[in-house]
Amino acid sequence: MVNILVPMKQVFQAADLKVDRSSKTVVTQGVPRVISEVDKNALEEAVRIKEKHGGKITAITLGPPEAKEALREALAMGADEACLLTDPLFEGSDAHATANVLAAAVTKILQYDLVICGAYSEDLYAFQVGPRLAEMCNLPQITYVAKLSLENDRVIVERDLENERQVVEAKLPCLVSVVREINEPRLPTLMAIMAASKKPTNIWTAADLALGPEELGFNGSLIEVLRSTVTVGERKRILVQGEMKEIAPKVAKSLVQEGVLKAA
Amino acid sequence: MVFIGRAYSKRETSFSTIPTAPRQGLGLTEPHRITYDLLPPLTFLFMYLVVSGFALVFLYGLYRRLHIYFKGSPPPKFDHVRERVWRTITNVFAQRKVVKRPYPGLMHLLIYSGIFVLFIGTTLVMIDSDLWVPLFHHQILVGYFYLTFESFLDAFGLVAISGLIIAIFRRVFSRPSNLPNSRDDLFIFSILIVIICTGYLLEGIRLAVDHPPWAPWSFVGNQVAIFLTSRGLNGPWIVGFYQYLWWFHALLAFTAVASIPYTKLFHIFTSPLNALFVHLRPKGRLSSPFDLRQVLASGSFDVKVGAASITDFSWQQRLSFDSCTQCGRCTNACPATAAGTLLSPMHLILKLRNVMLSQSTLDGGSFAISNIVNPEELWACTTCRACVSECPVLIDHVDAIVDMRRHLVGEGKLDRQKRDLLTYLGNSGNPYGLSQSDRMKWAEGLGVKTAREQPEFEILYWVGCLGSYDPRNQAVSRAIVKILQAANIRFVILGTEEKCNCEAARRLGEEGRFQQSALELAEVFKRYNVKTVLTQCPHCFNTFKNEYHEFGTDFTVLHHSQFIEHLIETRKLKLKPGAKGTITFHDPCYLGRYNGVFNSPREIISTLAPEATVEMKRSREGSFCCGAGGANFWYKVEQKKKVGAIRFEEARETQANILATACPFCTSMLEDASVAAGAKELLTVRDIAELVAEQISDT
Amino acid sequence: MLELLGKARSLADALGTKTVAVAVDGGDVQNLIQHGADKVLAMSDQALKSFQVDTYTDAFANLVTEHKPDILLIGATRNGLEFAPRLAERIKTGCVTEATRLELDAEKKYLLMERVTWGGNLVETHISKSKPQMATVAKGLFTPNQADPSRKGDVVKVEPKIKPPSTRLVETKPKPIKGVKLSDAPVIVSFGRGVRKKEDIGLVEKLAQTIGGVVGCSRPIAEDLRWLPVDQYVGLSGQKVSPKLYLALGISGQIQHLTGIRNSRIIVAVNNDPKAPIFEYSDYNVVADLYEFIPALMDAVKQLGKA
Repeated sequence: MVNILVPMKQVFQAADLKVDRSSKTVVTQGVPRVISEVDKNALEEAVRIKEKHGGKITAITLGPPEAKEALREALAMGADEACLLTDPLFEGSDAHATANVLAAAVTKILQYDLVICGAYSEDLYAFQVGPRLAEMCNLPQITYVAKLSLENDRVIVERDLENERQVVEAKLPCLVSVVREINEPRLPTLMAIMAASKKPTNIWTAADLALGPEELGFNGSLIEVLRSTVTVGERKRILVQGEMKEIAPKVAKSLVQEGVLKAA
Repeated sequence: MVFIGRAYSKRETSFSTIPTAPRQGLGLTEPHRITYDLLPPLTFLFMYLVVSGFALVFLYGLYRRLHIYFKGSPPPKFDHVRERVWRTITNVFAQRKVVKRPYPGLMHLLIYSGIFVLFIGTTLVMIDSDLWVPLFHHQILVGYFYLTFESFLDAFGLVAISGLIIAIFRRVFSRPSNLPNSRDDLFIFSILIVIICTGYLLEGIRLAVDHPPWAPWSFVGNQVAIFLTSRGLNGPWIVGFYQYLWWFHALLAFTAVASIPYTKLFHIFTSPLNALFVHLRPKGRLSSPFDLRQVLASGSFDVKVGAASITDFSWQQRLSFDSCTQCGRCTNACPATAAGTLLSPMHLILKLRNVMLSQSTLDGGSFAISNIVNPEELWACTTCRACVSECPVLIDHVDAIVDMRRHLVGEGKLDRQKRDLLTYLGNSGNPYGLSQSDRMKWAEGLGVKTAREQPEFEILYWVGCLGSYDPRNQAVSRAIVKILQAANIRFVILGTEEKCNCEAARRLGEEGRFQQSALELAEVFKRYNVKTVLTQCPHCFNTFKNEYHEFGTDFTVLHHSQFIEHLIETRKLKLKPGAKGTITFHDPCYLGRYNGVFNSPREIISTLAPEATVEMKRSREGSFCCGAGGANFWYKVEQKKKVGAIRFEEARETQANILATACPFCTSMLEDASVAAGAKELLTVRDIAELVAEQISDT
Repeated sequence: MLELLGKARSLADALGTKTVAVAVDGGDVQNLIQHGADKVLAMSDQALKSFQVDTYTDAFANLVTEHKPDILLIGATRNGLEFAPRLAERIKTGCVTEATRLELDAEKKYLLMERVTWGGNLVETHISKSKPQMATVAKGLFTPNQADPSRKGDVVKVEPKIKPPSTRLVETKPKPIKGVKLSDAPVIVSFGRGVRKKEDIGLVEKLAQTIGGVVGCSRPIAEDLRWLPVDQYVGLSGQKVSPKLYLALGISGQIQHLTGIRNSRIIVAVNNDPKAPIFEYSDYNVVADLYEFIPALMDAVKQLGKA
């Protein structure tokens, strides 16, 4: 019997985000909201553990009220209960403030053995919330997990690093963040998603979590966004012209400047 | 059924010891049936005793096979009786589907009609001797009626034998592909031939002994009699021999009948039953395991969807599995089989049948389909419907496959491509996962209006997902716009309000996604009061025509080939013929076989190139799939040789230089195949809309 | 590390402070000094021999508390990325991971840290409200300074106070040889029917090696021609990839292929058909024969390396 918490994030489908050239903003209207892919891997892993060892899975997400949709999908995938942490005060939270709210929720839930989350979110790719949450809750952390098994009171995992795999073990309770290699998440049918709305969903605000405004949102963040510049969203379609002996160096230079090519 | 020679003594023979009285009112000279001739008087009693034994065996076998159909299934529904009965009469009794393939069709027709007539004959004899005479004291089988009867039976016995000989020849020497030879076949052929031949021999002996004046009417038996007599095989021993032979023949006959529920002969029952009870849905409509509106209203999502085990199939589906005669026509027509995938429709049905039969000896429990069917078999199906089209006993393989797919989808264990397909359909409203806001990009600069901009219109042009996003098919969309504008048709498109109709989701097995899409689109169509829809995609065409109205739509849908033909006929569109070589047309499965639209594209092509059209070997209803259907376009299927490549080769054999299509998927698959074959310029793939748009006359 | 030092050096110079490098488990201390460190804190506890989040966090937390740096830079390796946020949380400071640019604000002198988010659509400039200002930086972003053998610096031995780790490293294994995982590759060199012979794939592979990429292909190459295994083709029914750089050589750009690559940060398309659809969907377009382009690009990249 293992009680698992799965923090998840609802994000805008990245490939659909477009830039409005006139207002120089990113257009989010009409862009579908989806669960960050790697969070699905985390939930899938939790469901597999539950299928093998029994227990309960609680999916948690911090976001706007629309994030309830994401939780319904999580319930349809196999979570037993969902928690939506939503409050206007949460807006503008950086990784630290977000982890703070999650930690408050985790503490409120009390009974858990394992926290499984995605190593990063598909919109920010910051890799921060997992370790911060682990630190706040004083949990051992194991990251980039590509294989996980549970034995009695400990997890034994394979960490996927650049050049090697590490086999690491830790005692429960602990926090594990996973990468996409770990599994292929199941896809619930539409009927299953609709049926999932019957499972319990708690909605907690800042008050429910006993968090004051000074530790939330912009106030609670340790990083401030000074400014955001919109990159030209569409493809550049730059035609590189000239003789081949001019073209190739031009291309190489541009790519290095873009930060996508490293000089050999 | 079998020819059972029954005779009862009518007059004494040298070895007969039982005198009989002449029939009342019958002179010895009037032709009539002599049943139990040359046999001891109580023969019929013993015979019926023996018959009842065999009958028990027969009934037990029947029970054993039938009871597994009904386990866990709602009772049979018998609505639209006239339609069902007519279907049975034409397909089974008139053998309409069987004779579609002339050579085996003839073979079966001969056996079938021969045995059928002999069966009727035997029944008449039984009624005559065991019912009519005791009740009414005279016979039916008298006079000219009787004489014709005798000739008829003799003739059809020959018919049956010739059919059986062809059958044996075919199985032993021709060995057509996918025609398995089993012990059943050997047994059936041997026993039928022996029964018929001994029947003639018995007749011959009887005629030789009795020599009634009407003997020549039984022309075969008569020849046998003449032969026997000429060889002197007519001694006193012949009656004894006759009696033994008679019992031999009778026992063989009873065995054959009793074996029906234990052998392939069972199709005698199952084929008419299946034809009677198979669903009446139009070809292009899959079953609806639930109604999403009801489910949402009731809040109860506990609906069983899909087939995980045999008992999840309806009793009629189970009956249909048991109807398979192993003729192999479905597998021979199947594109997935031709491509070397794991799917063979016949073997799939037989696997299900075998599980079902093995179940009938165990009670309780139901076999999980996952034990016997590999999911890849199911995913390889393009739902082209060639199998259903071929099947002489009206099995609906596609129906069963989709039911099994539904279960797999419900389990959620799909590979990434299938998951992506469903995710994209749900999140982005198209199977590519591209942005909804880009849906109208293809129409830039063409002056096309949306329904929102122009609420007054005649026709809603449904562009479809490929027409909107696939550059190759965007060219077709632009061609259609050109045609519509040239013909001054007041049309609009839905633009960014157009979302995939999720036909592919339904074929894949995600019924909920399909129904939700249908309900949403129905609202959109209603909002704009759409009366007529024009589409360039046969899959869209089929689902709108046959499936969508169940969810609230109410409009007529036309495929662009139909509409263009109409425009040409009514002179709204004028073309200048410009035959640039020879054109061959590939019938899309969902346009032709599914919906019977064969002529419209051909009319168009003949207008464009009156002298230079040629048909492929497999065309019209027999057309060979391009390989994209059943959602296969969106995921990878392991194939030894691609379906599209097979079809493209067939097109090349026609020596045409234009391969005309009427479906965005066919265009994509066949063009891919042309590139892979290095023949892109030799045989160009063009949609008929493109061909038409190029030939619009200005006058 | 040396790259970080290079940047740190220039930042420190701008701020007028010192650069301190932390060497763990006996790194070449002199090398660090020569590349710009003013001081090296050398820790060589047995517990720090191999990276463990707990021990490193403990050790560095102590160092930070003691030395109070303005700026703390950590390499954005996988281990670095998991350790930096935990450390940041321990010392209650913010952190910008995978920063693409670090500059000092001219007036206010705080560190401007840039990163790319939202599918590549947004570049955010961050500042940290607290000290130290932390950032993790990927390899290859900065260039190390030239080694200056005349540089002098202090080397201080540090005894870290660390608690035993809460996780245990059981063993290390080599990565499973599963063939190339295209979906993870940061650089992909992909080819289509523009490549005429199977043998020419070697050319593509050389280019891939040169720029640290992985070879992919379009569907016909894998499915029809079978020159490469089917898990190496990119497209709607194949692999969907999201590399930083996608080179499409001799690929026409059918929609099925494009849906597989649309998450690429930068796409370079090379095709000798000026009307190839791919040119509408890529960033840098070259109308040329790929057989000419490949060697030319390899040369150009090598030249850049020398510069």
